Amino acid sequence: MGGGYGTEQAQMRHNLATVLPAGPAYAHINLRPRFSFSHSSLLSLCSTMNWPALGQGLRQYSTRAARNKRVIDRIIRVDHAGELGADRIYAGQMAVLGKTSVGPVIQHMWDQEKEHKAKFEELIPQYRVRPTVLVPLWNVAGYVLGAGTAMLGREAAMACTVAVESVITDHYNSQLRELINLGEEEHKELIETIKKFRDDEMDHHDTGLAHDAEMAPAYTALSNVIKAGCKAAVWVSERI
Amino acid sequence: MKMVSIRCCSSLLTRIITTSRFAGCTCGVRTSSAPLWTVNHSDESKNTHNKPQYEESKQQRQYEEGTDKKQSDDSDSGSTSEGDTYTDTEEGEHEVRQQILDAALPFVHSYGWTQESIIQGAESLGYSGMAHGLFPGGGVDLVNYFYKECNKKLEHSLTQKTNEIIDNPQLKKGTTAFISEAVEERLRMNTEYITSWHKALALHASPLNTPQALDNIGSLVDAIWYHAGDRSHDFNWYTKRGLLAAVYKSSELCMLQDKSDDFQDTWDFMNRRLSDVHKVGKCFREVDGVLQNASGVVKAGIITGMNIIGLNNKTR
Repeated sequence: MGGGYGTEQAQMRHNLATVLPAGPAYAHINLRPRFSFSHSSLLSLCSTMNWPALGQGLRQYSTRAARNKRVIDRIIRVDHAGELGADRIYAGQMAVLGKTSVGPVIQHMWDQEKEHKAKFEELIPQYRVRPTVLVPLWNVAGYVLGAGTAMLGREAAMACTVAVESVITDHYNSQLRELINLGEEEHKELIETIKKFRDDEMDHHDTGLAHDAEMAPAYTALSNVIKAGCKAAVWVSERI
Repeated sequence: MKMVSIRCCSSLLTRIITTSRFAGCTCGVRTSSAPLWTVNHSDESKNTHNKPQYEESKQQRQYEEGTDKKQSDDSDSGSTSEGDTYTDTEEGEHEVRQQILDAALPFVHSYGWTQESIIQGAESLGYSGMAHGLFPGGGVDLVNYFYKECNKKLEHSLTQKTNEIIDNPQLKKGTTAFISEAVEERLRMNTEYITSWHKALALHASPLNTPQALDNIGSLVDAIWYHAGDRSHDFNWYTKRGLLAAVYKSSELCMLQDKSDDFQDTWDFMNRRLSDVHKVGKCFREVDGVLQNASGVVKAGIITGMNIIGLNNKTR
C-alpha cells in the first residue's frame, strides 16, 4: 500500500491538515505549541488569503461542492462590488463632464456598466451570494473618485477610466482562470458572462487611452494611486 | 507528543481500522516506521453492520489512488489542479465524520454534547473509540452537525412550500406569516434536545466557536429570507437578515425556559417580535421617504439662493 515512507508522510500531513476544523485556534496545532498567539493570528490571515497548500489545507473544505460555492460566492460578490463602483465613477464623471464633448463617450461606457451591474444583481439571488457589506461605502467612494478626477480635467477622467479598467480586466482574467480550473462545463454560463464583460472593460480601457488619457496631469502617479486603491477595494470586497 | 497523537488519529482513516483491540493504545507508542494495521477478521462478529468494512476498503482504495492522483484526471471537473489531488480522500473523510456524528446524536440524551457521545457513536458504528480524535472541537462539532442538519431540513421544507405556492397561488401568504411559520418550524426541531440545548448554546458562546455559530445562524436566516421572497442585493440584505437573526435568537432563548403547553409562550413571543420588526421596517421606509423629500427641499433652496445672487447663468 502506498509508495514508501515519503508519500505516507505527505499523506498523513495532509490528512492532519484536513482533519482539523476551521478556525485560527486550531491552525497552529500542527506547527507550534499551543497558545502561540501571534502565530495563530498570522495563520488565520493565511487561511483567509488564497495561498495554496498551507491556508487551504487548514480550512474546512469538507466537500468539492462547498469549495465551489465558496469560490463562486467570492467571485460574484467582488464583481458586483466592482460594477457598482464603476457605475458610480461614471455617474460622478458625467455630473462634471456631462455637457462637454466627451460626455457622449462617458455616457456610452456608463450604459454598458449599468448593464453589467444589472446582470450581477440578477446573479446574486440566483447563486445565493452574500453581497459585500461595503456597498454604501463604494457608492460614495466611486462617486467621489469619478467627480474628483473629472474636475482635474477630461484627460484625468480618462486616466481614471484607464486605470480602473486595467485592474478590472486583470481581475476578470484571473477569475476566468479560477473558474476554468474548477470546471469549464460546470460553470459555462458564468464563464461566458465574465468573458463578455471582460471584453467590454478592455474596450473601455482602449477608449480611455484613445481620448488622451496619457496627457493627464501626473498621469503615472494618478494611475498608480487609482490602481492601488482598486486592488485594495477588490481584496476587501472579496472577503467582506 | 501532541503531533504524534494527532498523526495517530488521522491515520485511522487512511489505514484499515482495527476494532477495540487498539482502543487502549496510548498515542506516542507508535514508531516512525508505521506498520500497517490490518483488519482482524476474528473480531467481525462484534460489527453489527457491514458498513465500516466497506468504508475502510473504500478509504484504502482512495488512499492508494490519492498518491497517484496527479497522473489521472478528475472525472468530474476534467482538471488537474493542485487542490483536486486529494479531493476524493477529503470527501471520504467528510462522509465518515458525518456518519459518526449522526450515530452520536442518540447518545446526547445520556452523555450530553460532549466527546463521550461521539465516542459512543463511533463505537456503535464499529469504529474504534479513538475516532473521537477526528473532532478536536469535541462536543461543539456535534452541536454544529445537528444545527446544520436542521438547517438542511428547513431548507428542504421551505423549498417544498414555495413550490406548492407556485403550483397553487391561493396558498400564498404574507411575508411575516411565512417567516413566522418558518421560524416556528425550525425551533420545533430543537424540542428533542431542549433539556440539554442550553449547554449546546453555551458551547457556541465560546469565542473559539463564534465564527461557526455565526455561520450557522447566517445560513439559517438567509434560507428563510430567500424563500420568503427576498431578492435584495445591497445593504438591505444585511438589515433584513440581522433583524431576523435577532428575532430567532431571542425566541430560541425564550424557548429554553418555556414551560407552557407545546411552547405556546414562545410562539407568542416570536410573533410579537416579528410584528415589532414589521413596524420598524415601515418606519424606516417612511423616514427614508422624508429624507429624500428633505434633500429635494434643500436642493431647491440652494438653486433659489444661487438664482437670487445671480450665479445661475440660465436666468440671464
